[in-house]
Amino acid sequence: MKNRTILLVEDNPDDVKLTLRALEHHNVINEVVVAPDGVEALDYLFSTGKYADRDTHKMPEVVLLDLKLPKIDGLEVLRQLRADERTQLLPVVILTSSKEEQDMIDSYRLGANSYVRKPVDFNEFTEAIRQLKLYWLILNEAPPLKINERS
Amino acid sequence: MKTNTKKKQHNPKVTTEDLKSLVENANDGFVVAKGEGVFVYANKRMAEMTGYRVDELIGLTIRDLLHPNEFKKVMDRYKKRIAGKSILKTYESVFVKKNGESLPVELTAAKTIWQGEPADLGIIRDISERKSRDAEIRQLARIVESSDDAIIGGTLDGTIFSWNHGAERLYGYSEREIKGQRITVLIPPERRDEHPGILSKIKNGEVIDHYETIRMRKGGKRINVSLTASPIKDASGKIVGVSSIARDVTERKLFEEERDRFFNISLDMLCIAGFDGYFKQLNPSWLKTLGWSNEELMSKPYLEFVHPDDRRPTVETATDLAEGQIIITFDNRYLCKDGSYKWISWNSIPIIEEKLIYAVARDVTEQTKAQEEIEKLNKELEHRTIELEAINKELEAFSYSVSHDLRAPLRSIDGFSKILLDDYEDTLNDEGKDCLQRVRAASQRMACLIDDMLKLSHITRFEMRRQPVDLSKLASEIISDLKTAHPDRNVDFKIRSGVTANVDPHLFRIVLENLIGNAMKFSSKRPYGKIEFGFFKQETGPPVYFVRDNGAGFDMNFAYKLFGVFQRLHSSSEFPGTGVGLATVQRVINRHRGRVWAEGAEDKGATFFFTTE
Repeated sequence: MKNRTILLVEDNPDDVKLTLRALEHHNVINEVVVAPDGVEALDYLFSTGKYADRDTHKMPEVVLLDLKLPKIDGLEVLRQLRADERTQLLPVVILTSSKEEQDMIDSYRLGANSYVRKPVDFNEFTEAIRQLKLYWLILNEAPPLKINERS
Repeated sequence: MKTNTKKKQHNPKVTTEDLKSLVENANDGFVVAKGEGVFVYANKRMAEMTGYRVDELIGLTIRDLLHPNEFKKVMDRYKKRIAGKSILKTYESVFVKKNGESLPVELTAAKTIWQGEPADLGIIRDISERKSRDAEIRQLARIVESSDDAIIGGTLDGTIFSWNHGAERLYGYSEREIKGQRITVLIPPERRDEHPGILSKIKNGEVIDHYETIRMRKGGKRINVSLTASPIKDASGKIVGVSSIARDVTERKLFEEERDRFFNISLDMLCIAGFDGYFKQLNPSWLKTLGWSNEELMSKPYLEFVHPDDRRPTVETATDLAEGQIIITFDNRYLCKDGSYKWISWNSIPIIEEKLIYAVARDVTEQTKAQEEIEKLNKELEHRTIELEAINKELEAFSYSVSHDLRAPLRSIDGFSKILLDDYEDTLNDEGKDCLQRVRAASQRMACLIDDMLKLSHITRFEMRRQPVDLSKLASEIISDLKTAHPDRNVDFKIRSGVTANVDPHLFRIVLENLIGNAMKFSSKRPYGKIEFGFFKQETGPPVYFVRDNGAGFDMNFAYKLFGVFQRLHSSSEFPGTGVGLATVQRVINRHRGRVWAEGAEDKGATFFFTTE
């Protein structure tokens, strides 16, 4: 298990609580940073605003990104991530209620690594989180942290 | 009178002087020749006629005056006369004047005694005027003779005295046959009563100009003629006869009749209008279309019947026509007698030399109205399309919102219920646990309803692409999936092969999935399910496709509810479902302009039929 953070971009506190509980349930010990809107998510990733002091070299293991967000929405956050060298290769999993075809197409087109629809049934939801943890935190090798320094 | 009386009573002695004065002042030329024809005397008139002076004439002979061509003729006569043969004393010949001009003359020769000796007396008359008049008359006669028109002269009592070749050709009688006959032989019996009228007009000095009537040829055949008759007057101006000129217009009449026949039966309005702005001729369709009589239409400039807004373009078009342009189509509105206006569409051509416009017109009011109506409807449609697009966008936003926002609270309800169940398992009694289980079941069911509703709205918004689809193959694929999903089920599937339709493959997969899926579901309580997909042709109308099962069926009294959204004829505990499947099927079929209906009976299975266009 890697020790990098997980960035959860989610505006709904219920969903935050349920997600955290599910992660906890599956023994995920990584620090989970919650950004309640797109602006804060970008601030965290680019070390701006309230996260100005954050070391940009420490990128999260994975970003769990909701689409419908206050201020800057999920798709725009994704677009800006992919446009910046520092976050270009960052694994992003779209975690949303929407099953709209257009949302899936837009997400993949903008470079999402995965698209997961949040199930209503909490058992299924917990199972989805378990599988995400298994894949992104255990199986998957994240891109090297200092990629920006090499380029 | 007194002088005359005196002359009769007295016979005074005529002196030589008297005679000399007579001769000298006579209007004829006098010459006296002696011996070999040498002139010994010539009067003043002779000098005037020939251009010689009197003293120049003395000593000349007749030969010096005669035209060379005439000399032999005159000499022959002279010799005959000398020989004592009987010849006419007076004859015509030609002199040559001193200036070389020819002079037609009439010669009269006689024996006389001149100064006690026998001599020849010649009296010469200038007939040049008469000659030229004769030539003129002969020319006129030739013109009359050679005319194609029949030119007839008749007396006032109707006797024919003159008859040209044209008359012979037209009427068939030769001049010899007809001269002296009554003019009435040319008039058909049924027309004889028009003759006295013509005659009395002529007697009044009137001319009958281009009077069209019927005359009769030799043998009785009727011919159409155009007749011009005028009085013949004598020198004193007294009317003494009738001259009539007739022209055969039979062919023209036939042509006109033929033309009029089309003119009169035409459904279109036909007309001839003058460059002066008036109608000249109109066919009966005008009355039928506009309600005005032809007399009314011809009584004032046609522009007055044109809608005020259309007058300017009408004048411009008429000007173009007068300049020789052919106007293929032109539309304007004409006033009807009832005060309404009708749209008239025109095809016109000008005949410049006659200053006439020939036109065919058609009432296009209905078409124009229909066209306007179509345009109006199109505008409305455009407007509604824009509205619909806006509504569609709104709906999309709505369903997005439903998909995203309505599910989140459900997740919370379910999630926290589960947390309660997990974390407080020890403190909750069975009743409490059951309640929370129900809360969870309800939220999950609501999530299903939301998903199905979204699917349904997708069907309506989905862009359709029709293509030939093998429905048999599609049904087989669906059945194969169902068999995999329900390995425990014992179902006999029967699929008619080669059933195709021109439909959207994606949407029809949904239709068959729903129908066959339903058949599967509702026959689940049978030990042996029977599901059939097939089709049949109707006598009229499109072929009918169907899916039949031997399942639970339904009460036909509620058949109308089958295709309603969220309508169910069975409880979900009996057969699970949200009541969206058949509504979805109906939407797809509607979008293919087809029809879907069902037949069944409770516990006797059901058959779902559908058609497409």
